[in-house]
Amino acid sequence: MIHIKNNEQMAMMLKAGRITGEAILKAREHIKEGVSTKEIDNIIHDYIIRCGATPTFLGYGGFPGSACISLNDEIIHGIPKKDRILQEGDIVKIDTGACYRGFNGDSANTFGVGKISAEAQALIDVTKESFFRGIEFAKSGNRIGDIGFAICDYASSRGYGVVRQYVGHGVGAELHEDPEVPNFGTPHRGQRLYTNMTLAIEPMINIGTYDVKVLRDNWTVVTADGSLSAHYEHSVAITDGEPILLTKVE
Amino acid sequence: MSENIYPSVGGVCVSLTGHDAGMLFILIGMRNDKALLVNGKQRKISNPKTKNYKHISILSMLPDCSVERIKVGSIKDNEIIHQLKIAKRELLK
Repeated sequence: MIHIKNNEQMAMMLKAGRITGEAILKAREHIKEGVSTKEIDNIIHDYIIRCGATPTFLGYGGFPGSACISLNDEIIHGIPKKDRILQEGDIVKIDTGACYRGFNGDSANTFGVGKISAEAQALIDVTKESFFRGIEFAKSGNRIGDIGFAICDYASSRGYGVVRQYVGHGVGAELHEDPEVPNFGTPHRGQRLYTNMTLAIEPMINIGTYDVKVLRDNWTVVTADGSLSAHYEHSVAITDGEPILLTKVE
Repeated sequence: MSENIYPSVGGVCVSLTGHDAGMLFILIGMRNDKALLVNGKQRKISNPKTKNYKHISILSMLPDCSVERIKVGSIKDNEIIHQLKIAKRELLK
């Protein structure tokens, strides 16, 4: 069921989104060679708690961290570990969520550790740009397929693989609400968008194939061919005009 | 945190469309957006049926040990037949 938020609920979504966005910014300051993914997770956890919110991911489906921290060929759902140390040239994906007074924010971004390769930087840039191509169509009256088509068209035309198995979703009182928001689709198809719908739009783009596999920890999703992957996500509120990026903080 | 839209490997599922609508299968994997389905008889591990994952519905899951055997590729057709028998019995209860 799709939940259309009222103004009061939207205010909570904005607050939750701001905390989520700030937590990622906070973590970004600490991304450098020698830091463990568990340390980054702790920074995010502490920040969210200090803001009076709760980390949505912690315990969600049994997930053991407050943030999914995935390196290089890991696409999403990487488990933070003390012995997983960032190395120069790695690309690290941080995906987290905060719940404030019952409403959730969900956001992710990809960062380089130190100096990264040109192909890794290009991947990050294309992933981010594909998100913004997608949200050009995230307005009332359009359909979910319009967003997915724009994302897929932009990334695929540059030779990248767009992950199909994992998709964006509605977000609100629950972390995962209807509708599903695939990063591929057919224009003018799928659920119609209405004002005050809130969606987590999250392109996951691979340098190689879009095929994925799940590691034996049953969480970490990696590219099937071992190629690099990037992830960019914001919680977005649909309006009649430009969408509001709930989790984007400058 | 992204949502997985593919059905879980090791799921006992019913076909919703086509000439096999209503038949039970076990999902042993996904290939090119298609579900790989077996029943141990007409559709064996060596020749799984491919079907759009939107055209099946997962009804229950196999025990963890069987799911693990599917993942490592060591499950046999006779175990598939046996597990489907158990699943049918459970569903008819």
